[in-house]
Amino acid sequence: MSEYQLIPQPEEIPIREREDAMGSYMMMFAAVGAGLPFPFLNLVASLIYYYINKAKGQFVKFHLVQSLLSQIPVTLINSVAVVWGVSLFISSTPVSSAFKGYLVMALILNIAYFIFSIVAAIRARRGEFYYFPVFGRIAFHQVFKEVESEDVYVGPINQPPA
Amino acid sequence: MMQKVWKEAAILLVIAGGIWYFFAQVDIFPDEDALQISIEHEEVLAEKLNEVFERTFEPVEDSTALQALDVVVDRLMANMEPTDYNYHIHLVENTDVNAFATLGGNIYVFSGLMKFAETPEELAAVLAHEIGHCEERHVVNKMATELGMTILLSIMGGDASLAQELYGSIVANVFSRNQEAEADQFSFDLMERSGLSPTAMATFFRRINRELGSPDEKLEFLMTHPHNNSRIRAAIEFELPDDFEARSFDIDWERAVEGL
Repeated sequence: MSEYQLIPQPEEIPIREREDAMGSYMMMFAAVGAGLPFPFLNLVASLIYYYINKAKGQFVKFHLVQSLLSQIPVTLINSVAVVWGVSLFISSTPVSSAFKGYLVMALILNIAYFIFSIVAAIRARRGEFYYFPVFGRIAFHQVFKEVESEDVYVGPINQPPA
Repeated sequence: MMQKVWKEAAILLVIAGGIWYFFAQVDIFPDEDALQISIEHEEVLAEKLNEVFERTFEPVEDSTALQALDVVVDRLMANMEPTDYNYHIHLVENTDVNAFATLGGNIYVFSGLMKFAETPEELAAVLAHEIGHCEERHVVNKMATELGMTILLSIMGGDASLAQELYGSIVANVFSRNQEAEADQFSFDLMERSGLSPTAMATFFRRINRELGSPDEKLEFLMTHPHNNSRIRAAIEFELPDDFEARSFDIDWERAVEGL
């Protein structure tokens, strides 16, 4: 028996669910503009979106988890850039080449993340799965792993009158 | 499945680390300094400027003070990394507590500053800071930014009146916060190599705060100069190696500044 449950195919996924799944990536775009100086804002927005939509089926939940998980490292990287930059400014320390290198790395990762998110949003709208490196597998594992039920069947609870 | 996750995570980390390392090595955002005037051109400008400064300031002739200054300068120079500049430190008569770097490795020290310093180490700290401005090419870059290349080229061509224009800008000795911090960092490193503790810089600035007054620390954010207190902190926090041993100057300082 497979370790994972069956994956829904595009024709089985209603439009409504596809749109909700796509929304998990769009939320990030909407929040990232407002959240740039405070990188945690987009994570908070995505968390709220996750809790609102997580019960809407496995397809939606997979994209929610993937979007949320993948935002954690990006948010951390951006937060470090902001805190590092502000502390350099406050302490009047010269901008080091390590900081410049870090900024370029953060920029490249953000661009890559944006591209991955756009592709994932389009694929989700088509009812397809799209796996990010690392986070795609974790999200899939979280949502589709077989859970062995520990409940023991004790017979029907409701009985006709004796 | 989870094994593949770890593998992918490791690959991503290596890629991110590699990008960071690569771009930290390749300076893709050079400081503004890079447009630049060559050292040769800077020396031509320095000559013109020196003519102005020589007309403006009387050189100190007290040989004891000059000898003491030489001892301090020699110690710093002996511990400098290879440099494009041939440094000339001019001690001039002026009661202000000031020193400033001009072009081509020329540094002017007011007799007021030498007298205000209580130890040769304090004077060394100030000199190391001004050398830092030269080495980082702050003065020449500031001029290039403020005046533009055309004017600098006219001065090189012999326009003396323009050289006079530069005078005010140089004596005001105003640099950006970043430049001051860079010069401080340079001075701490040079002092360490010269067997001098950067705390001399802290002592000097503390006395400046106490005796000459210090602007409100809260205003520092608005000011171009890092406030003296930040610089005191930076000097104290500078980490010296465990085996560092300070070598004090063998100078009778009181006698050295007596004639100033």
